Amino acid sequence: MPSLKITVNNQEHVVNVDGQTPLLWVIRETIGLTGTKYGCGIAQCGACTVHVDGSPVRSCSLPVSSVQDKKITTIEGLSQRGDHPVQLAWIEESVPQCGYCQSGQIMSAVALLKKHKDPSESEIAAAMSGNVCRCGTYLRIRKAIQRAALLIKENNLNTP
Amino acid sequence: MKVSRRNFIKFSSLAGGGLLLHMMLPGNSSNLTKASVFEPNLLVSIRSDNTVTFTLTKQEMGQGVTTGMPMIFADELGADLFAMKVLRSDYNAQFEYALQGITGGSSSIQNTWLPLRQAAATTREMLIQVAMEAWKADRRECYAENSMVIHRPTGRRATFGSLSVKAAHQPIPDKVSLKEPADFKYIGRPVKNLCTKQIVTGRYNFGIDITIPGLLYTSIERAPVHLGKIRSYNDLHARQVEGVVDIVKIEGMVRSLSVGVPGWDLFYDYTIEEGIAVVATSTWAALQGRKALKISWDDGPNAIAEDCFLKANIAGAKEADLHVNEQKGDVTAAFTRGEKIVEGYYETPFMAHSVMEPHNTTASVSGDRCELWSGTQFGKRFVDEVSSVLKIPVENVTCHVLPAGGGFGRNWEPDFAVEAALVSKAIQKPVKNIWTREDVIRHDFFHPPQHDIHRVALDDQKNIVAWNTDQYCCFKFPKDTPWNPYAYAVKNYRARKIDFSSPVETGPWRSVTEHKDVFTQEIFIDEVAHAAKADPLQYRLALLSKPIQLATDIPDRELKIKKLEADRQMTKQVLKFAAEKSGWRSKKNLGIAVGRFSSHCCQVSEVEIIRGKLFIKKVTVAIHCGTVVNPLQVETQLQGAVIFALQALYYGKITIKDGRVQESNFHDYKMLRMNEVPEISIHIVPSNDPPKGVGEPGVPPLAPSVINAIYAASGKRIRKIPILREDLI
Repeated sequence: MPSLKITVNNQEHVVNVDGQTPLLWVIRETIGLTGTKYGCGIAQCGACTVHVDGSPVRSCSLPVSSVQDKKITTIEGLSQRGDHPVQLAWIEESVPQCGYCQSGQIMSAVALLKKHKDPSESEIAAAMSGNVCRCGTYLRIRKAIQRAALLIKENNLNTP
Repeated sequence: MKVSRRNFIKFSSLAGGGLLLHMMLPGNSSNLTKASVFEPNLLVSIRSDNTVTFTLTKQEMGQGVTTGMPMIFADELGADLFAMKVLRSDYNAQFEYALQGITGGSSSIQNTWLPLRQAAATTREMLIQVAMEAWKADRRECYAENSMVIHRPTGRRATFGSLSVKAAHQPIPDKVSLKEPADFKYIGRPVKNLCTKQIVTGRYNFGIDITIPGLLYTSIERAPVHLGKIRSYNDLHARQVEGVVDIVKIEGMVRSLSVGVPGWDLFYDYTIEEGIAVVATSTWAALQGRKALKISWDDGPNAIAEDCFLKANIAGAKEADLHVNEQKGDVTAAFTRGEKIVEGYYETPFMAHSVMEPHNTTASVSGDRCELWSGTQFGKRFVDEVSSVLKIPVENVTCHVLPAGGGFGRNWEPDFAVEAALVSKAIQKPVKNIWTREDVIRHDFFHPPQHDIHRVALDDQKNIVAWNTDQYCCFKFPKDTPWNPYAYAVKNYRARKIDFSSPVETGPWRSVTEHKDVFTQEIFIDEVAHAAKADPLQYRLALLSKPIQLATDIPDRELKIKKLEADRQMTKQVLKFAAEKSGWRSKKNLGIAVGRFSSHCCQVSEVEIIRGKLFIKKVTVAIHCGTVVNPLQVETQLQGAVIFALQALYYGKITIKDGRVQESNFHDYKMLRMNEVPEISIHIVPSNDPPKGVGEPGVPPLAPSVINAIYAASGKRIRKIPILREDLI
């Protein structure tokens, strides 16, 4: 197996895997960060969303060989203490039910708020429609994104 | 309540129908030697550092037991909920059914409400007793709060931890009283999901996240047609895939299973489909190996099955084949006297659960022992089945019950755990069996299709004088009779059913069987109301207010009438409440429907049809769920149930062709997405009754309420789901 170098949450890992292996499985099984979830394997549900150089990508459909020189952030690397405004807003709005899709939802929401500081309901729906939640937490996700936007604005934070 | 001191105590659980709760007492030496821990029963331990740990017996799958059950326990104990640790219990044979058993049927809070409170109150009284003796105080002067016992007159306080050593030596009180609702601290107040911090930081472990030393991964290529068999296979190329370490053939088997509910003597068959398991050092390698398999299948008895098989079976069925489940009066004679007949034919399709977390189980078999890690709704069944299939003693099988990313009834079927155990047995190494999304959709235990024919005869006053319901389904749980509160007042009523065998597995779906029955009945009653030129709400209320018709010679007649009356009252309450909150009188384009699954739930949908496209603007929900433990939880469960039911309404149908499920993943079996969610407004009928379930009752009324609203808005009567665009044109 080839030896590949990838950077996840600011930490470099050398992994011996087939370069075609989707990033998802390398993150979960090789590196052992299980917060990123497997949902569909064909980029349809968003449960596996991570950031590559700050942009949201579906890690289930991205060969690990394509992200060697890029910066990968997973849910575990979003903040040191679980206090990213989006995480705080998720806690405040008590968003999750089963929780399985929520890492992906949060990673998509963070990316949205980087682009749109104050997204409208339709902008939220458009940005989040790639993420499936079978429990049906969508109304709370929307409220949490609005709350996070407010938190960022009130605290004058640069969108992290 | 009488609690006797013996090796264990038995509590009678009212909600569980007289089931017993056994709880170990600290009577044995091992517990007494651990002097710093007070463990009065299996549910709680209190350490001298004041750490209170609650053992959660039910499985978490998003329905919120990890918040609701600790709320009940902490409230009654007087513990600080937010400082209390929650420990997820493995399957433990010592827990009675009511306390662990199946996590399903929206029964967790309902069944554990009293046992939890009784255990907590007993624990609390033992702690208070120690403080009272030290302070020479009266019981009435002491209370427990925030994990402390407090002496009201002096303000003296002692932490539970400081009392725990002595409490362990206290006699078990013979009698404990439970808190009055006015004294509840957490129950009835909105408490946020206690798991959220772990979830949003990626530290919350589902079954799929488990890893153990030496773990291998397996992916199984199963018979594409239910009950298909392998003619021959070639694994040469699969074995050459880097990372593949072994190939294991799974012999298909049909097994008989107890439904597992005490007092319900039902066995049904389920299938472990035949297949080839590829074992590898990673999931990806297992998947690549699986792709490289060459298998020749004998498609077996379902080789030519189509999803329209039900219609063909119905056409071939004779009236004599219909099993009469309920009958009163003389329906046949009454139909000949009726002035007007109203009839409707309604259809629900095969539908999938499609849980977010693909099914998985990690199994570690070594000799005659097996350890399982799984997000199961029914640990006992997993242990029993694995023990039986592997032919190893049941006490040698342990099951770690993990949170699941959704369940909806699918995760009580043990097929994926048995597969994992078979593979691990063959290789004598720990293995994680991961299903792909395609496996999850194609090898579901589907919501069975059902076709119902409802027929009533109206007299010249538009009263229903006869009602006949014929149901054609293929479900493996024989069900007595559909819930029909309108028929209580009908003199001549008959409900008949046939269950044909299904070409795919079927199983309980969110709301088990109620969705199918309520769907047809609530559209039909709407049609009858319109035929009678009455307002659909007023027509329902009037029917629910007429004298109950019950033969004079049936046993326990008065008691039965009382029960039916209570059921009708709750039905009326939610109907009126939802109607009022939705603006029934003033607004147009509304449809109403009511159902009962544990709790009574009514929904009013408001729709608009613009250029042949359906827009659901708002869904108003009213529920009667008894005492509300966590109003936030009730709200989220009902929102979720509405969204779950909307998916069925828009996209739910599973298609079968040549025995094969045609849908495979989210591109062709669509889920509801954020942009498709209407406004949902939730209203709870105030009640001091014991709590009832809230996870499922929100599903059944949604589809008929939307369909009835479509009729109100357009005059188009739809009698099936999913609703297609052509249905609206």
